[in-house]
Amino acid sequence: MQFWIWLMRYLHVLSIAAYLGGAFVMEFVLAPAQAAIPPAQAQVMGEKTSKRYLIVAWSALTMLFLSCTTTLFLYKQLTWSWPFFQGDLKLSHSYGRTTLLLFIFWCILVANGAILTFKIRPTLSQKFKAGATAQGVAAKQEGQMKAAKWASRITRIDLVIGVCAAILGVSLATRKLFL
Amino acid sequence: MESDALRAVLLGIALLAFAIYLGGAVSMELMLRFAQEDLPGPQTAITCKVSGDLWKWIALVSLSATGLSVAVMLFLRSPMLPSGWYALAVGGFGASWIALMSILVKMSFRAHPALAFRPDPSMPPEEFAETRQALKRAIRRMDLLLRTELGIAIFMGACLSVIADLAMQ
Repeated sequence: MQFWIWLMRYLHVLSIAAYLGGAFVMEFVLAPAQAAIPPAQAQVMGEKTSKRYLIVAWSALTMLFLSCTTTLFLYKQLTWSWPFFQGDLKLSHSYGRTTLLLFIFWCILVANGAILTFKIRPTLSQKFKAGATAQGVAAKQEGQMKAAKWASRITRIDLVIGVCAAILGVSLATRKLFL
Repeated sequence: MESDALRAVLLGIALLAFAIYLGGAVSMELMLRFAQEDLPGPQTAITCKVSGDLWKWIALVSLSATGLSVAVMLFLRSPMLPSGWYALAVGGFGASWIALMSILVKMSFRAHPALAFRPDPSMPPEEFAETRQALKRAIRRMDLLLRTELGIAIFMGACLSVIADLAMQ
């Protein structure tokens, strides 16, 4: 069983690494690279990088949830029967409260991912139809610029939340920081 | 108690730095190359140069931070040499860290700059063909280094996981 606990923890670390690293690269490496090429190619590059980034992000978020719940089940802190939360996972313990906070962070990241996937990315991928009026094109372009700014803001928020979650995760694992 | 908290902080720094390094390397491989497929040659070269120049320093700093924080954490735990599984994990981490640093230095200062040179159409045909071949070899070398780097980094992550478990006991 020790091996399975170690494996789940390792997958958990790999998932947070993929998520944090992906957000970091999007914001601090790929964005400057995009800014260095003409806008038309920058849009193509932006569409393709965001498509892959969302795959990485969703995979990481799913694996984070699965590895965490599996670990808690293996530690018998989470059970299928009432009360579901056992031992230190109860809210009366700081361990339980920290875990709840981490779950809230995860929910925020999922919500941000949903906004990026279903709202912002479709706006950025819009193509201009033949025969569109100049006003229509200008309005769409303005919409796309706003969407690009929001995408950047959300990525930065995700980075900050990811770093805070990683720190709290270390605190849970070591029980030597805030707990 | 204070030493325990300090070791936990160092572990946090090591994990964060490693997360940026590994996650960044995976993302560069998955996202940048995919995006560059549809770009014209000159734009590919520009994005490659800009992103490579930025990533080089981020990777060097994060890998150095990982190594340094793990080294200090291990020393604080015990200045004595480790034994058993712990020794294997520490040895594996050390060896992979040295390998990754070597690969990173080679990529940053030799392999990546070699990609910046593009054949000029005004060159004589033989020179043009030779330069194109040299560029193809440079791209293959970069590919091999990147994939080797990723494999070693994943192994280093496994060693770091074991060290994290044992160092906090």
